[in-house]
Amino acid sequence: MLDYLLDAMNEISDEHIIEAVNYEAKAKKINLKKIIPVAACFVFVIVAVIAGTGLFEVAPPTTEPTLSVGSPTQAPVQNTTVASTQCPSQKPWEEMSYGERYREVLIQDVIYVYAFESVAPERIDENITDYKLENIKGEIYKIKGMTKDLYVAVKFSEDEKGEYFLYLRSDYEPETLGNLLDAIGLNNNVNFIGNSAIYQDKGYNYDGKGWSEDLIEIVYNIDAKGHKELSGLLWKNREALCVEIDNDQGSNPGNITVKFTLMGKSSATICIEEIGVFKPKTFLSVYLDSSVVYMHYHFEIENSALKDYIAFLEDEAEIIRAERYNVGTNVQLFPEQLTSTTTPTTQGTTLPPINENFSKVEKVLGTAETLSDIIDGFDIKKADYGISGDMTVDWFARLEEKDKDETIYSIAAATMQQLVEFMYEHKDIKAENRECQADIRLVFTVSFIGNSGSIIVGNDGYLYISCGAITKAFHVGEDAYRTFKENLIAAVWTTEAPVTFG
Amino acid sequence: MHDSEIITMLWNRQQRALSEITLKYGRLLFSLCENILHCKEDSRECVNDTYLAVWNRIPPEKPDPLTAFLCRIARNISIKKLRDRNALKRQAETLPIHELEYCIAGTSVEDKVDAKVLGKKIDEFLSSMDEESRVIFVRRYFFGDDIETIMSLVGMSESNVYKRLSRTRKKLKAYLEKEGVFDA
Repeated sequence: MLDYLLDAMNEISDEHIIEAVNYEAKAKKINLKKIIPVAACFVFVIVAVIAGTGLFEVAPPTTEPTLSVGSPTQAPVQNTTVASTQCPSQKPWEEMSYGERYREVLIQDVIYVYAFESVAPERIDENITDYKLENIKGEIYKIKGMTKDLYVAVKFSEDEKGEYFLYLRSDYEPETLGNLLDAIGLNNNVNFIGNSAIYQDKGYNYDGKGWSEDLIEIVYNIDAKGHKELSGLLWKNREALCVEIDNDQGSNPGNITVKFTLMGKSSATICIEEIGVFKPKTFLSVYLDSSVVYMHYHFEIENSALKDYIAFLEDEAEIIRAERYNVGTNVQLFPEQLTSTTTPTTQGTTLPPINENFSKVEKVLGTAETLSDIIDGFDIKKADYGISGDMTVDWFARLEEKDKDETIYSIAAATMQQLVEFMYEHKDIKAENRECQADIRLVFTVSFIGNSGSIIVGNDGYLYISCGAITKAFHVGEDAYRTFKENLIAAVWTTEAPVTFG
Repeated sequence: MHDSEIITMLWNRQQRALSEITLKYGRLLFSLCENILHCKEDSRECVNDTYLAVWNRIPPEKPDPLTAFLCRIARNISIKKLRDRNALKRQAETLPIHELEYCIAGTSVEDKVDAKVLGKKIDEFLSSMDEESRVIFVRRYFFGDDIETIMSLVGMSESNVYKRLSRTRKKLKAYLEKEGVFDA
């Protein structure tokens, strides 16, 4: 009977399963609603106090403030946003520390955000006389071993306890890794010692018949000597340029993840990750997270640097745990992924190093002179189900129009044929090196021998084929684009209403 | 990461998709398996088997929603493991599902409809219930959650969760009888 009921319960619809999985978030929302009137009371009290005393002109410190800071002057990438999605404290105003009361302060027209930490008096350096608080009375101090670019300590005049609160500049943009390391005081305030480094990689095992694939995770302990070595390695990459800053909650695990403490308190993380196979790039990310503020800085480093960090772990750190998860069998490996330097690791797993030879994808796309070269190179023929030769087309395609939301279409089986026919029709057109400039684009996500790419037909009359860093453009003409789009949407794409996201 | 991106990665045979699934769904899947097996080691193995099954099934499949797809696989693998080690009867009392026997009590083996038909009827019944009752029912009998977990999820007291489950079971029994799935 139990078997019978277990099987019956498996027929519950997806909708009900999803509802049960996601219910937690809704339950939390209800709690927040209960809190809102209380929070509103706090705001009211705060505003009343400020208005009554006339001491400060402060942005009302709510219990859940969200702050957006405008575009930086020398932005390497994007606007920075500091947003708090959770409130660590719902205390009454009287019980709040001064840092909690004033989550944001203005210093020289720049907003500094409370990092929800205090600074020990022995870490306080000199008073910064050329900085002053604009919206409240208090003094600003430099922290020992740090520059004043990112962190400062603030002591509020009214605070009888005389605490030093840690504030950070939300629009800080280091030009290089060295700038950030100076700002956080690598040599004085950062500590890597402990069970803090994790190395993750994929591995392959050959059983005589085929390859299986593993995820490998090794946890290392770093001692004082290792700490010094690692600091030296980071300093070696000090010229690495900052390429992106984000404020997303949580960090992304990389090939190497190292946790560290900042000023003996904050838990921060450095991740080093190699992205891409045939033309990989390596990034070193520093995640400075507190309970409400997330500042993440990403630097591009030399690909060879990853090897230095791996060698550091192997030579200087002690393995305290190693795990291997089997994630797949009969994995197909390309010959170029295996080289004569392939060696078994200490985990008994063969790690084929990425081959730096010219890969097939780069060879075909890079040397293509006509569309025909790509068709032949990837063995693209008419196909029914999205796979032809070395090319796979995703089941979804996007219609992108400038200043409009994307429209996602599910693709009927015959779409592949239509796309291939379109390529064949223009196979003699010469390739151009040109980036896509179309305002309206039909975008197909494809993969060539397992490498993500795209095929775009744009209203600028070009067919673009991209994979990795290579894009080849073929001028098919605007009439050809229009006919292709009309035929595709009218005859082949799903007749159901398209799903629009965004 | 959005589920559609994970599926695209699986279609491109990028094993990072499995790391993303682990990050996003690892805890959910482990607790589902653990609720059935009551053994951490076996549960870990089942979660790994789930990842393997996902790797082998996508492509050609393109599940939407991915969450339900993963949960079903993990649940089936766990139940199969329980059957394989012949522990189903022994663990019957610890599995919340036995509480549902009340709804089909008195039904002879000959009168039993196909499990799929019964499942569809239960699903129809759930659609007619209010959201909270439905979530409590699904968490208890699909995910095998204990009462404490459900209490914290829906913010109800222990006795209220029990009462709600009891009422839902009674209603389900009446519904199945009314629908002619079982004789009254």
